[in-house]
Amino acid sequence: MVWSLIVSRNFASVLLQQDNRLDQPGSGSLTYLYFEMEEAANASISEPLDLVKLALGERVFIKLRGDRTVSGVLHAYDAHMNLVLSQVEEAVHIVDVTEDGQAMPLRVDRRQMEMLFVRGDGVILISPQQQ
Amino acid sequence: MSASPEPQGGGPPGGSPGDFLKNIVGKRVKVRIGNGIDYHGLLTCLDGYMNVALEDTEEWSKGKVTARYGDCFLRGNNVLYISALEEI
Amino acid sequence: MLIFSFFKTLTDQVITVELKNDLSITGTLKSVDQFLNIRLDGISVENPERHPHMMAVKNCFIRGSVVRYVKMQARSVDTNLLEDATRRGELGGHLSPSDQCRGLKM
Repeated sequence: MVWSLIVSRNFASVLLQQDNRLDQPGSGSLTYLYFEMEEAANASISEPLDLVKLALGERVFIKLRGDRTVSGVLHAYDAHMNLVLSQVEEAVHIVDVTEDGQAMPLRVDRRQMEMLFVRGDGVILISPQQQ
Repeated sequence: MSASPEPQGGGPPGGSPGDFLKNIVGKRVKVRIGNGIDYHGLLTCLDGYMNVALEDTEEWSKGKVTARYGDCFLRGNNVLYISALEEI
Repeated sequence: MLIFSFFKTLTDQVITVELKNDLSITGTLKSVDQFLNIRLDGISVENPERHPHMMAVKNCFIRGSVVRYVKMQARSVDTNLLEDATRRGELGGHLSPSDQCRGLKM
């Protein structure tokens, strides 16, 4: 017989388990109480947006359309991936082409901005920055 | 009308695209986005917009790894397809 | 809705709107709507010589969908308030998290 008891909707489910197979003769039933850690981990990221939620207040790396990348501290986002960031560095990756069509080495234009709103439709990827 | 044949002996499970997406959560997958860049990683979860969360992600471009991300979120509108890199 | 509210707190502040065609317009934010359309007053453009047609324009309405970035001063933003509001899940647009799962009944 297994009873499961949801203690916290979002973080962990505690399983109270009475496993009859493990009952020792004469010892009464054994009751096991354990946290399902895997369940807890999955509960914290149950939908992709939770990954972004966990990055609030942290520095994130963002890839945008148009060969742009942005790094900044994430303060707000919504379901469209509109973002508000501070301490932002934007990099534009430019491949110049010579007159005879040869690609020049990659050039990167960088800009700093103190507070920036990024419109969500340009977002490709968001990653918490490993530092 | 006869039912469509079941896949024989240990082949990939049949079913709807939704079943496929359900089956690949927790597996290593390849996500191709619009501009031909691929993301290989462990699929943490996905939603109805095809927004995708990956772990241990490699970014592949023109046959080379161009970046690595511990966790990464891909905005669904950019996703062309998701393919499993291991048995499902 | 969260980002809409955020922009409403910026009214009468000077902001710079960078458009997807690389045009950058600085001006005073007069109003914003739910689509993040923006009305700017007293505008100037970043490279007036490259955009001579903008010289005489004093105010403008910018369609939200053509915006790439909006730059603003850090001191006009309460970042803690923003993070709390975001965490509380006033998630934007017109969608609740459960709506977002529609079409993927698995």
